[in-house]
Amino acid sequence: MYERAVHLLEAELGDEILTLDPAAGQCFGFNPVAASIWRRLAQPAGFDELKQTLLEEYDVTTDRCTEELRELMQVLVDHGLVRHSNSNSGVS
Amino acid sequence: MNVGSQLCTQCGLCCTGALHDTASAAADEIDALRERGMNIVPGEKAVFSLPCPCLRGTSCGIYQDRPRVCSRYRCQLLRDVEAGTAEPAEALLKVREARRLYEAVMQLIPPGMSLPEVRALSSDLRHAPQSIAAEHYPVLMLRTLALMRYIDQHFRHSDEGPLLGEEILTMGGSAQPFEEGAQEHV
Repeated sequence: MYERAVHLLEAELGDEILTLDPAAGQCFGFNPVAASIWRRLAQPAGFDELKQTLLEEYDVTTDRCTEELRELMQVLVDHGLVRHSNSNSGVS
Repeated sequence: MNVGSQLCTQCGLCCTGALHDTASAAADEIDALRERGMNIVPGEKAVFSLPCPCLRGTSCGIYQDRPRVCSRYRCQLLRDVEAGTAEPAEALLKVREARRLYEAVMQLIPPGMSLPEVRALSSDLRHAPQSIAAEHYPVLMLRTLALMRYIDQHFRHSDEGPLLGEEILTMGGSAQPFEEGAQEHV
């Protein structure tokens, strides 16, 4: 399962989201795809649920979606924005 | 009124300091600009500080006598509309979004503080100036960055360089990786 690991202040910016981690003072921009995932993670979700969110929203093949979502989730985890636990059997 | 004029009179952001800290003042204009209340910063190339004191709402209060730099200047959005590479209606939506972001910043800053002054504030959230409530400071910083990013994306010329440097780390890359909207997929 993936869940948000930090509280971010958010500002809508067209179809992007701009966020600020007030504790760390770091600012993050979320492109439209990352913004979709961040919004979805208002509630914890497994990889497959996140992937389904993108497949419903964008014209993308399953393989490409899987590959790019995996990369995105790794970046989000690496930056401490998202926490990943193995409590779900979804692809990770 | 042409499309450009319609766009500009609903925007006015170039006069507010949202795009630049200053604007060029020609040597033969300096006295007149001072009389208009503009703050002239002398130098090899004199400039006047923004926001312009002659801005009235979103329009110029001295339009017929405005500085020459103002009559010459065209933001990227206006250039795109005039070149036919952007639809006027689409450009107007961008103006409205930029105005919304601008107003969101102005709501949080004390009277008399300008956008160039806000941009110069420390991004270190522990060092809020006394004139700004500490609890508002992170929100002000975020709103300011949002405005700067939008201005960079749609209003500043590429040869002017961005207002923002590396302050923002973009999640998911800067490009739109997928096409939006269609539901069919393999």
